[in-house]
Amino acid sequence: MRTPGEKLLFGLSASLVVFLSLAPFLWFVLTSLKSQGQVTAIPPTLWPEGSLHFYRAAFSQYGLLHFLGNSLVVAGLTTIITVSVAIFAAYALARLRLRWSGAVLGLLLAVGMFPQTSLAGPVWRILQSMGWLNTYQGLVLPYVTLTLPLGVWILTIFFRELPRELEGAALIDGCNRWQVLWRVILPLSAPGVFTASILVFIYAWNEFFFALLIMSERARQTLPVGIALFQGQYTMPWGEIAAASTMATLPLVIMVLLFQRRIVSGLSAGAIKG
Amino acid sequence: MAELRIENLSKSYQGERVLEGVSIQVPHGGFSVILGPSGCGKSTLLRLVAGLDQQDQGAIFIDGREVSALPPKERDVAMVFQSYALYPHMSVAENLAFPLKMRGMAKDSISAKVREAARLLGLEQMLERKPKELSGGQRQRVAIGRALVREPALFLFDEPLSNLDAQLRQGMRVELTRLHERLSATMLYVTHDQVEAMTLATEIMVLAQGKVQQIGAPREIYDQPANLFVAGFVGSPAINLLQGMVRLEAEGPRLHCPQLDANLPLPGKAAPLDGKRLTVGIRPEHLSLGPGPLGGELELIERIGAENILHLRRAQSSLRVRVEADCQAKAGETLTVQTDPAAYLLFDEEGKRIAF
Repeated sequence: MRTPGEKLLFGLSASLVVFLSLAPFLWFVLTSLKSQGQVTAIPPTLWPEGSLHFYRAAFSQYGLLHFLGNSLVVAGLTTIITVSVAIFAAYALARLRLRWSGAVLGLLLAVGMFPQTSLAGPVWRILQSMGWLNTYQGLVLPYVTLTLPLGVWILTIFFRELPRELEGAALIDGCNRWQVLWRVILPLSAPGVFTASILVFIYAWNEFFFALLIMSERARQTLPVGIALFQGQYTMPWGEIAAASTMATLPLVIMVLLFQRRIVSGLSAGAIKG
Repeated sequence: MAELRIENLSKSYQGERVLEGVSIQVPHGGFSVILGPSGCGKSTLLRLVAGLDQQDQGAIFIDGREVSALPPKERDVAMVFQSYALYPHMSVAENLAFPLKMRGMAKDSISAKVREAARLLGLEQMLERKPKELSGGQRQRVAIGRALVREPALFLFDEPLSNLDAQLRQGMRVELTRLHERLSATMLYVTHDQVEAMTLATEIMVLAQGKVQQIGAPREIYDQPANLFVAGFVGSPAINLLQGMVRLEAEGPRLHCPQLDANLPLPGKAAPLDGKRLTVGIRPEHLSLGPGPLGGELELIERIGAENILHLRRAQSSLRVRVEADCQAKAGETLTVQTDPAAYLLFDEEGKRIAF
């Protein structure tokens, strides 16, 4: 049992962490709802007028919808491809008697830790020679490569937790390996698949560096790059940027809230034997 | 219903021999139990028969057809696992239907079969429940039901009762025996529990360190164990083992046993063993209190209910004696024990039983 003092300390430190993480988010949500005058007012005002002016401007003048669309395509495709490939790779690593499965997992982790700047040059050259610069596949390909280690790790850990006897039972009951995966393993690994999908989606949705490098044409740019380039030579449209950032964050917040339980159980799988 | 024949099966994992030249046969409608301590290779043997693992050597035949290289689904076997291995995301009805569905059976026939199995095992009220909503005994029944809906040639059981509590286990033993009589199916059952083996089996195969030690009817395994391992492993309380040297004296052969500080009269037919070292096995029920060549200080009384087990200590060794529950002996007393030389089991230096 915790003493009241410990409880208080816990509550205070937790609130502090929550406030620090949420403060920037709250600030740009509030800013996005302010009027033009309020944004630059000195001293700053906290509560906005509640005007949707900046949202209208972000959509009509800055093509926010367009960037949203690009991001959705790129992040969506990345998630589908990464998770599909990761499922097969993870099943093989978790279950088939492979001699080097430990080494493969270690290598994947190492690959995942490569600094992106070291990859940027070669990736750009490869994509250029393929004629894939400024194409969706040109961005999806490096994203899949970069997110696969994460997906494979999460799913491998998940698959390993499932009792082997279940697979034995399914094989004896008339399944082949594919059917075992499809009918028994995957339905039971839904939390793991969800977790992997959401983490991969968030990565691809937020990624800035490669998106900036590969998508130089405005028509193909994704949200983070699009928003960063809102600023003109002489202007800094704070209100529009805040509105766009809110629009970029909302889908993630909604998604994570919806699947919160599953994500938590997915992330903690392997931590405790249950 | 089918016959299972296993010939010279061997299997190693990472250089370690798990099974070595195992040959067994289960006749049509037989209930054979593989009995052995944990790690003796019995579960591996079952997995090889099911096709979940591949043997290094040897062959497996089901009804004369070699299945050694076939995948599990083509062997026509069903298996009940220790952990039940029910599909957690499916209801009881779906679990029971799964093997039929995977074999492409028509929907009406599937539901008829599922209903029949549920009725046979008393699961009718639970068909819509998920496995996690069932008790251990109910899960076990579903696992058995999933095996029998398909009417396989051969049933495999991998320690199916070891996760149940004592009372349920006894109930399930009776149920399994009934089920076997009713289906007259061929069954191969693996356990480390000798009571299960003795009560269920038509034939017991004792396995240790990957090798078959003895194959025989339950009574035969108990009364005429092939070697010291079988004698020691089967029987509870465990058999008394007395090591010593045979000496032919005026009144007949005797075992000079320094461990119990005793000079034990042996049956007359042991005379030719004069001068040999051997081990005498005496079951606790073949000893009784009274004037005799063995004895010791009463160290412990185990009260089991219908009977008591007395532990007598002398020198570095102890003796187990099975007596009636009304025995008045008290701890600390020094008692002597009568023996019946006709009931002795004699083992040579290699541990093999000497048959007369």
